[in-house]
Amino acid sequence: MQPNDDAGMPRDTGDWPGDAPWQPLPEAARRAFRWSGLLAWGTAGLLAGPLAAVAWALAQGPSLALFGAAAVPPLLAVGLALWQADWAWRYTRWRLDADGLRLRRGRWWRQERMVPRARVQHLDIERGLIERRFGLATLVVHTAGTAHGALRQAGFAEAEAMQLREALVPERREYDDDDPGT
Amino acid sequence: MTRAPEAASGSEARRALQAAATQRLHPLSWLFILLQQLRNFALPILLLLVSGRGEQNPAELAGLAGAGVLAVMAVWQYFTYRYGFVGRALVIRSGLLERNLRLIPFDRVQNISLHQNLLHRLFGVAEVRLESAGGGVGETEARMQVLRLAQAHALEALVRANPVRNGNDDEVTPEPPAVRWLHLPTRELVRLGLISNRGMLVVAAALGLLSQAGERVLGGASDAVVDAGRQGLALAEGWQPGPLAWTLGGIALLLVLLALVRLLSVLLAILQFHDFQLWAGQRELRVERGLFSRMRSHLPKRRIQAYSLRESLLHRWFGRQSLRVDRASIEIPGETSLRDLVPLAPPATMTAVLGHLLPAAAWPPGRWNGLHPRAWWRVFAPTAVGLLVLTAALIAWRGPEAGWLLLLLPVLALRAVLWARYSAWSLEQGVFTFRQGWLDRHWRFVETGKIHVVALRETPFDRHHGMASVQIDTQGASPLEPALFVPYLPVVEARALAEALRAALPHDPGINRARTVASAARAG
Repeated sequence: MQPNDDAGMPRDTGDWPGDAPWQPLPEAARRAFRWSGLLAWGTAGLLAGPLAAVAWALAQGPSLALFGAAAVPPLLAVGLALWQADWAWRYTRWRLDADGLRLRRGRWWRQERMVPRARVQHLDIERGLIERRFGLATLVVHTAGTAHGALRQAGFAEAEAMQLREALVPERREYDDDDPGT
Repeated sequence: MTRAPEAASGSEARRALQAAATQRLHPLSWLFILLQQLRNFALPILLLLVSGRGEQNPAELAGLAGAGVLAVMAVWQYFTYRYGFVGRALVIRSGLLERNLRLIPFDRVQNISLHQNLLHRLFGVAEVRLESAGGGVGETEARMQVLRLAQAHALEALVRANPVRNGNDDEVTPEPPAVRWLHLPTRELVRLGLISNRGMLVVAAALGLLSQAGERVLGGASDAVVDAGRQGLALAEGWQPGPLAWTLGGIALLLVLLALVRLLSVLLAILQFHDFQLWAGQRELRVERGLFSRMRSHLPKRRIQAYSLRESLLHRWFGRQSLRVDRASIEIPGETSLRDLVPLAPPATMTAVLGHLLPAAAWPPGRWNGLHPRAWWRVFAPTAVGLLVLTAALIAWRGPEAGWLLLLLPVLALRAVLWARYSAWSLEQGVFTFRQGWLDRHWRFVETGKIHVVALRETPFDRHHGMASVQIDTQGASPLEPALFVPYLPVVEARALAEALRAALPHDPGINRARTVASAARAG
C-alpha cells in the first residue's frame, strides 16, 4: 500500500499534523499567538529600528532614507511574528487517548510526545494577560523524566485545559516505584 | 520535604515528636563538623595564604577569625542536634534559635550510606547519610555526623529492615543472607585505572584551578617549566641531534607524560575502589569501597532506573566491561556515587549480574533490529561537509597542499558505515536496549516500566530519507551518559517502536473514568 523508496523501505504517507481524533487548538489561539509574538518580536524590532537608522546614517550620510531604514526591522519583526504564530497554531495537535496525552508540534522539525497518565506528577494551568483576554490557558504537564521534565502547551481553551487537567490527574501514583510490582 | 507540617499536626504532635528526639550524636561530632566546614574553605584560605605571603595581610587575620567562628558554630550544632525514633520513622531536631524538626519515614529513604575517612576510623565513628527521592541535585535528606560505628550500623539495620509493602502490611518475609557478587582485587583496580583514565580529568581540573589561582602561582610554575625546558633544549643542542632524534625525543616525552597520567589514573582507581565489594540481598544491593575513606551504601534493586554498559577498545583488550546505573535521586558526582555499580568485570560476570537484575531471560537480548539502510550516510554527510569546508578554507589560506586532508574522507565513511552496522535496538521481555558504537561500544537499556515519556521526532533530513527517531525519557538520567535516543530508524519502524513502548508503559486504570467525564463535559 505504501510506496517503497529505493532502499526498499516504505515511505511515510502519514498525515501531519493529523485529522480527528487529533484536535487542533481553538481559532482564538491563533490570535493570541499573534499578539504574544508581536509583543516579543515587535519590541525587538522597535529597538533595532533606530540602530538600523544610525548604521544607515554612518554609512550613507543623513537623508530621508533614514526613515526607511528605521522602518525595516520593525516590519520584518511583525512579519516574522505573524508567520511564526500562524505556523505554531497550524501545526499543533493534541489528543487524549486511553493512556494519556499526545502532543504533536512542528512543521519541519516534527515531534510527537506521549505522556502516559500514570507518569504525570502534577499539572499546572497558567493564564497570561493575552491568554486571559482570549479565554485561553497554558497547560503544563510535569513528569519525573529528566529531559522532558515538563510539557508546556499554550493556547488551549480554558474549559478544555481544565478538562485535560482533570483527565490527567493520576489515580494511582505509579511513578513511585516503592511498589515492588505485582 | 518530610518536615513535620506545623499547622496541620498541631502543637501537641510537634511536642511529642520533639520529645522523641532524645539521642545525641557522638561527643566528637563537633570536630568532624568543623573539619568539614574548614574543608569547604580550605581552597580559598590556601590561595589567600599563597598569594598574600610575605606581607602583613589583614586577610590572614580575617581567615583566623572566620575559623574561630566556625568552631563555635560546630560546637553549637552538636549541642542542638538530637535524634530519635517514632514508629518506623526517624525524627531529627536541630537548631535552637532557628528550630528545625524533621520526620523521615524509613520507607521514603532511597539510600542510607555510611562514610568513614581515616579520622573517622581512628575514632571508631562513621557519618551516616540518608537520601530520599526527588531531592534537588545532591541534596541529602539528613546528614548525621558522626555516630559511633556500632550505632551507625544499628541505624542502618533499622532503616533497611523496613518491610516490603505488598498489600498486607503484617507480612514481613525474613531476608536471606546477602550474596557477594563481585570483589575487585588490586590487580583489577590497576586495569580499571588504565582503562578509565580518570587521571586525565584530574589533570584538567588541576590546570583549571591553576589558571584560577592567578599570576603569582601560575607565573612561578610556568617560569619553572620554561626554565627546565630551556635547559633541556640547551642540553639537547649540545648533542647535535638530527631531525629523527628530535621527533623520537618528542614522541618519547609525550609517551612519558601519557604514562604518568595513566599512573595517576591507577592510583585514583585504587584510592576510590580499594576492596570494592558488591553484595546482593533479595531486595537491595550493597556497595563497599574506598582505601582511606570507606563508603558503604545500599541501593534497592527496584530503584535502578536505567543501565549503561560500556566496552571501549581498552576494555576489550583486557576482556572487561563496565556497568553504570541511573538512580531516582540525582547525586553529587563522586560523593556517594553508586553510579558505578560494577566498575569492571569480565563479560560473563556482567551477564550474570544483569541476569539477576533484569527480568528473567531479558539479557542478553536475542533479536536486534538495525537502523535504516542509509543511516551511515546520515552520520557521514555532516562530517564530510565539515571536512570539505575546512579543507576549502585551508586551501584558500595555505595553498593546495591542504588538499591532502581529503584523504580523511574514506576514513570518515568507514567509521560511519561501521557505526551504523553495529547500532541496533531491541525490545524483549520488557527491556528496551539501544546499542551503538563500534570501537567504543555502548549499551543503554531500561525496563519499559521505568520509562516516563516517549517522543517521536522527525527532522526535514529524516523525512527526506524516510527516517524518524525515538527518544525515551527516564528518571535520574546522567547528562554524562548517552541519552536513550534511537536515531535514523525507518519511519514505519520508529512509529511501531514508539507505540510498542507506549503500550508497555504503566497503565492507569482511572483514565477511562476521567475520559468519560471529560467527553461528557465537552458534549454538555
